[in-house]
Amino acid sequence: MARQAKRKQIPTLIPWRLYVLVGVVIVLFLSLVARAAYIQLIEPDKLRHESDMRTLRTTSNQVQRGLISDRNGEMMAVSVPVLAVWADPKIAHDKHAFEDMRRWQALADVLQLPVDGLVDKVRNHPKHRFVYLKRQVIPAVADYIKELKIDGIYLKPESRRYYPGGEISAQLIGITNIDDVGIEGIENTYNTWLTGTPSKQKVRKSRDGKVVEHLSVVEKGENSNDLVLSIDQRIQQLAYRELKRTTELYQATSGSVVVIDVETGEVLAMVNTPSYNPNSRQKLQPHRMRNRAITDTYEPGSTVKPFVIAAALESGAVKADDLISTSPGWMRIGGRQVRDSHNNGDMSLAKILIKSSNVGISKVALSMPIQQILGTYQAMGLGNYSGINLTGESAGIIHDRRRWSDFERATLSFGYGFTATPLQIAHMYATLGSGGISYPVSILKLKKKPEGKQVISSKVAHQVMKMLVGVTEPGGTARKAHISGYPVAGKTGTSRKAIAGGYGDDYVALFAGVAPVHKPRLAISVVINEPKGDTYYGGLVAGPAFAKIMSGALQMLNVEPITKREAINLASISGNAK
Amino acid sequence: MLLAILVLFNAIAVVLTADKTRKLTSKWDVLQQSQDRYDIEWRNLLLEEQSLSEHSRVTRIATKQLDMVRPMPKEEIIIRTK
Repeated sequence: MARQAKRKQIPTLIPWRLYVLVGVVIVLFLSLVARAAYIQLIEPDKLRHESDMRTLRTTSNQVQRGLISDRNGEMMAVSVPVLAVWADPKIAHDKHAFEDMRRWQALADVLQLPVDGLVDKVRNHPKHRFVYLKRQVIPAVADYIKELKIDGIYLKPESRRYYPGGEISAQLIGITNIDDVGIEGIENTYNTWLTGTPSKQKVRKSRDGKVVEHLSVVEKGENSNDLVLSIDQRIQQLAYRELKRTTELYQATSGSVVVIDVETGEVLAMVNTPSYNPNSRQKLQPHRMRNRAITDTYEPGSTVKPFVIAAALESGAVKADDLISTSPGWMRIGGRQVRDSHNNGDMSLAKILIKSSNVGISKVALSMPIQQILGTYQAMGLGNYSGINLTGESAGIIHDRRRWSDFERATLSFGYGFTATPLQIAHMYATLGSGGISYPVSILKLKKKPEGKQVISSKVAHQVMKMLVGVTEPGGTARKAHISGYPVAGKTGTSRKAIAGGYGDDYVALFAGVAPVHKPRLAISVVINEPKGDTYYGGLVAGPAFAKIMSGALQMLNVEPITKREAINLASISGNAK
Repeated sequence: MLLAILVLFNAIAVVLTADKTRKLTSKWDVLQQSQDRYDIEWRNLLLEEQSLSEHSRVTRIATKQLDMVRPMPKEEIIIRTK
């Protein structure tokens, strides 16, 4: 029986079973192919969408505000990324973030804020979606906050601006507000140039968060640009130190110093007192933030006398070796009196400048048409913007009218009846120093020498420069502005400040000049506003500061001191002038 | 048949290239991130350098600690190299 059964089990093909099996396998396979084809060819969008949802991300990169540096690459303003701590009160409520108050205590401690105020800020507005808790938090603190893991507390990147120069260049550079927008000075003028916009990019990220594919740029960003100023931080620092010392010594209300490179018209230093610390903004006072070197105008007093002489020489009204009688030390013009401190008798043009004689210069001024003086003043840049292009610049006032009384013509010649900024005064002397070529003033470092404009002939400019040498030598009004090794062509100025209805008891002490005379390199103007006490003469107040800044700056720029032979040469010229 | 084989090879090449691209992209991204990090570090170092090399500080150290003086113009000796 068993044997029989075994024999019966010899395989016999049952065809229908095979066909069914093969048929099923084929059907299964075909359906797989069909499904694959369907997904791939007919309706691929849904899965693509699902995939994209898991891998596509939009990233944005933060752009820091551009750097501001001086001409030697020393930084004057640097942005550093920091973070803002903000809260989403709604999420904090929904996730019951207030249950663990220890975390809030820790948050308040690290932010140095009272914990009650902090919690109330978030708790009292459960519907709000955004509130700043603290801005400009340094990254170390931000990491700590991240570790606290409080629901509804987030960090947002922003940047903070540091000014390594501090108060030295505070008014010139200006400051930015908390949102990184320039609101003062260069930060304001060149805001668009310095600001970049972040770019947004669509990227594909892999499972472990690595970017594997860049797909498209959603928003094209713009890189911020750096700014290189013409300022030389060494000279800037020196000028500020001397100006601050002078301002304190004479208890002056304010003061400004401008240093201009004679050869290119670049501003090498521009400082003002009183100043402020741009890195700590709790106690900002608007009057400290003004860049007085360009915003404040003063009557320039005797500092403009050399340009009257220049105008007179140019027009031929006087000759370089003319003598002018100033006896008896005063003169009457149209019922008003112009006087000198004492009777100087017959004076050469050089002596008029050396002794700063009002009578002498008035006579020179009255010997030529008024348009000649006004024209020279204007060609020298008075009453016009200097081209420095900074926010708040003042052009000064210089009247242009038909009718002038003789007395007005005289006062115009010794610096009253019109106003100028310290920058304009320095620019005038720079023009004189460059042989009468006026270069536009620039606060940015120039790649090549700009094109200048000849405004007075170089012969006249040199004549006037030589006359001015005597001012800082024995017998001049500003011996304290004398520098050994570098002969100076400068001029003092002391002007009374105008008040309503006339002139008051306050003075402005000025000194402006160029050095070294034989090969002018720097032009400096020092303006000390309202010195208190008995000393208020430009030569005594502003002169010493001028000398210190000039000699220090020339040394820094490696300008060669004068040799003995050249010194004798020059001495003989100024001796002749006397 | 030949075409089918070519298609296959082509498909494999596409896959390999895509993979390579992704690896390079991710490397580039890592490099860019470290660039950002170095940039931040550089900015902080800049600030540190500025505060250390501040002129008044250098002057103070030079005059007080090292007993240096600035020469007067007439004490200067000029050496010409030509």
